[in-house]
Amino acid sequence: MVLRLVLGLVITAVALAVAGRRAFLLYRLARSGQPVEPGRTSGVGKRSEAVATEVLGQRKLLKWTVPGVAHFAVFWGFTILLATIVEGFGALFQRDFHIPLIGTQAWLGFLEDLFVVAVLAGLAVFAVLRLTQRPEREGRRSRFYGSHLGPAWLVLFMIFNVMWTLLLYRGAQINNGVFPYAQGAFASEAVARLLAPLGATANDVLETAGLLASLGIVLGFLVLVLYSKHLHIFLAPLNVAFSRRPRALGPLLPVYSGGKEVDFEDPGEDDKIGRGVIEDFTWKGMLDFGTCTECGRCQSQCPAWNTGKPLNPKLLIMGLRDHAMAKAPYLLAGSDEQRAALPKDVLAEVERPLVGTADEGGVIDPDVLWSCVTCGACVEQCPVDIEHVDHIVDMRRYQVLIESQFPKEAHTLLRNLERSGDPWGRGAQARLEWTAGLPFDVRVLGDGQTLPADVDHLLWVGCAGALDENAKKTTRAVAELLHEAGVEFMVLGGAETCTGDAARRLGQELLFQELAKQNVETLDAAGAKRIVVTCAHCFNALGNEYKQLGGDYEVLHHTQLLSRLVAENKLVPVRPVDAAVTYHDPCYLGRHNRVFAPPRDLLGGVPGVRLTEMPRNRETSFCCGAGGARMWMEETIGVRINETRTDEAIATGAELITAACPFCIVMLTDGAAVRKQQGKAPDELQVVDVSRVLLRSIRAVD
Amino acid sequence: MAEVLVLAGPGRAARATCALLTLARRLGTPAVVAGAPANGTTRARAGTPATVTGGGKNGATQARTPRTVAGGPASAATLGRFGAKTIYAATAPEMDEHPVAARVEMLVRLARHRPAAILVAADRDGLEIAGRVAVRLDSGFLSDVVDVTAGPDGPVAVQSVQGGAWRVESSVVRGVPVLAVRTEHVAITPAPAPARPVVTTVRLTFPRSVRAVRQVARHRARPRDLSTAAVIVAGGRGVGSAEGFELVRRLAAALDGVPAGSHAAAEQGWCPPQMQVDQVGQVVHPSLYLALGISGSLRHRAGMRGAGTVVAIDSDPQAPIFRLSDLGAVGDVHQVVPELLAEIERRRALPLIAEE
Repeated sequence: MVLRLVLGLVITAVALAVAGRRAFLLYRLARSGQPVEPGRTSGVGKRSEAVATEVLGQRKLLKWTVPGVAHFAVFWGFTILLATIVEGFGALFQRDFHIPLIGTQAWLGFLEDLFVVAVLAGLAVFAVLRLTQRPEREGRRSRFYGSHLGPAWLVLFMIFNVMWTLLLYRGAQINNGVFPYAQGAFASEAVARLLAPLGATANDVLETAGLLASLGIVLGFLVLVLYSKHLHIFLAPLNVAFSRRPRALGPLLPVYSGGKEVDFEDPGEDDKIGRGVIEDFTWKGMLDFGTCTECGRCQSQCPAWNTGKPLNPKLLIMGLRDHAMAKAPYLLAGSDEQRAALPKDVLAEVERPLVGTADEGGVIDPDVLWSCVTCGACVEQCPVDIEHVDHIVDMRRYQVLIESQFPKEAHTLLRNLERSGDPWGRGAQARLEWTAGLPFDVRVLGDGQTLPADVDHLLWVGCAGALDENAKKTTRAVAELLHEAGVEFMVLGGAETCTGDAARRLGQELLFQELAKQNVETLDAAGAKRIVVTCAHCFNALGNEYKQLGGDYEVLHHTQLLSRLVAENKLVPVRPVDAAVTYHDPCYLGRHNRVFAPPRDLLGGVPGVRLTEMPRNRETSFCCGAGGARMWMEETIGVRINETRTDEAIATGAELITAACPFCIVMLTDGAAVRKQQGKAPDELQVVDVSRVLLRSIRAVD
Repeated sequence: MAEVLVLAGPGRAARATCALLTLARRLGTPAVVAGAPANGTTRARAGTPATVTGGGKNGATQARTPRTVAGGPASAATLGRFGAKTIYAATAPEMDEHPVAARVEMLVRLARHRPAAILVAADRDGLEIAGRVAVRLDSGFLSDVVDVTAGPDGPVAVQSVQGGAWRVESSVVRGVPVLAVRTEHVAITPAPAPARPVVTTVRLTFPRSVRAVRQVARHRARPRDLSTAAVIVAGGRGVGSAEGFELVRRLAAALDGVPAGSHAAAEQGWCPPQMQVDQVGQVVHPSLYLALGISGSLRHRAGMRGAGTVVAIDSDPQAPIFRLSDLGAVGDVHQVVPELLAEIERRRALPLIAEE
């Protein structure tokens, strides 16, 4: 007994010392990042709820049923089995120890054994998943592509060891008459029956050996966790708790330096703009990197990765983490002398640019950085709430604003936005061309006027809505429908400029701020309260991002307003539109802003429409390829995102592909044209906005 | 009137030289600075220094007989028709061996007589020569010149700046104005009265600095630059296939223009991505833009908005391209273009600017 107490305590002391040292290093590394922006700790209620549902309830993991349930079992197994660790340490001191009050009750014994079995079953599932989806076989398609495979198997093996040693000593304890539970622990009892024939001495030895082995393995596992990607078991609850709420989607954050928003009109001398080196990330960023468990759910949904581009959100986060770890000795060194004395490989790591090609030794390749469409599919999937899109845009901000390094073709976009206020350089005078030929007059707000009291909504036309041929048809359809429903609306005409969405997602925050401020001034001067938009990007910018600049408006997407008008019988779709239809969720309407139902309600209300969903819809919708300013860049790597998505739409048998964003429509129209040319799509296939389907049903058009 | 020095560029430069002469006549008495003596009675030497200007290999001369001025160097008679009063010729071997440095020397030497301006075609060699001459003379230099008029204090140049988005008027305030002219933007016109140019041979001794270290033959002709091309023939979805895109190339060749593609053509691999004209590809400012089977999407228009004259051929009469074209033909590219090619061929037989 004394020997096992001494041995047990020695193992514990060593393991805790090693683990503590490592934990302190990780803590210091995280704190070497910048302070976070305000608001990371506010809203305790929401944050607690998130931890309850996402950590305790495993909500996001359960999106994938089989691995989700297996993880649920292992997670709760770890939690419940903390009781066995208490019992194990107790048994070092007192052979027949039991937890006070509840420690002998059958339900606890049963629960412990139930979860031992559940964890073992979970491990079996994990092993099968890892074997069937191994990267050697599946290549890029494997969710474990590029993940650390050896350590992952080691973790599974260690958990397995914890479980069998637990059962071993518990069985021996039963045979030796020192087990806390008279009944309930069914699995331990089964092991006891196996061990009983070995005799009393053998069971004595097995009890002690099993107990020490079990505690030793648990402690060894603790150390392993701190040195591996399995860190998530400690960090995930923290990361979920400090993540952006309700989700790290929708608006982008302004540029923060040292926890304070950068004032672009008068930036501070030492302000950090974006992320140029790893220590420019905040401690929440570092926490994100440390929490990543390499599960690959992000990449499974990523439009870039799934079309053969080098961006993989998982590998991006892993790359940043590995770089932070390798650079840690430098970041944590106390003085220049210490830094100078660091090993060569650390100093070499310090020299690596955060964003650079393989030749430059970059941590993140520019092709990776610029492949992102900011669709947010990775953020949506991530079970531990990592904020991939924010990190990517922060790195882009540094590249654009400090280094002036970005795809050259985006220069045209920026130049046009600066000069003409729209991406194509058509200029303000072209913004009312879409009204020509409408059977009624569109009311245009004059310079210096405020919206009259009889006007219900300001129709924000947007650049595409005013200038793009297809989007003009959508704008006209919406205008006609509003007119039909008796909704009074006005437009700003040439006073609109681009909302700056693309500039912001490109990382050109300065230009975004200029455009946004100008628009907020215009809207405030017009006295705009309720705004309706036809573009998902305008919707996000006006509704979410302009709040950051003091512009507070009730912004409705046209599908929301139109579905309301249909519900109120102000618009009655009567003419059947006999067509097989599918609907593509624009990322910035759906995933970023949760508008899923209104466009579907609209289509559902049109007689004759047969709506078939694509396999990837709503939260898991697959981007058209235009987001994240990718609309304005060339797509030269891999297959084209828009064609991939168009194929998915064609496969539903649709004759009409509908969407609710002009940029999605541009991309899908392009995709459909290519497929028609190749004979892979029927000639009658059309890509139209949802509103135009409604208009066809209201009266004969098109 | 003071002389205006016009550098006769090496290579396919006859048209460029005539364009420079067209401008030079407005400023003073045009004088051509030629690398080799031009002869008024025999055909111009059909030789070009190959190392710098491309064309032949290993110093071999380009065997191309000029029939119209679009071809090789111009004869003295042609230069005279465009108003050249003097031809300065140098016979030193350096002129062929080191075309840039030798011409710099020659222009600096001739600039001693205070010409009203020095006009150089803004091709690769020309830009280098002009820049070096300006530094040597400590003179002001204007690039991207597309037009010139005489002002009270010397030439006033119109420059096409920021990728053709703006035109600005500029003049040089110090030294001999050195102007690099984008000659493809100049409409060439013969002089009202043809001159008989006097050929003056300039004897030059070149300093030690003008020495070839080694000559390297360029193997692959560089594709011509879309962003500065004066004539562009672009094909789009209506061209139908990679084979159909050959029509675009043939028409471009026939018009001495540069072929290009819309994003639809580039994405389907009918033309390389470098040839893509649109928002994310090349932004072009040609004097003449022919759009074949291009509907004229917003993104395409963003790339060719700066075109001077737009001619469109498309089968869809509703295509937006017709709203911004100066001349439109509704029809299948595969029918219209071959007819157009035949007509060009027919008119080619009647050269506009004949050699003699």
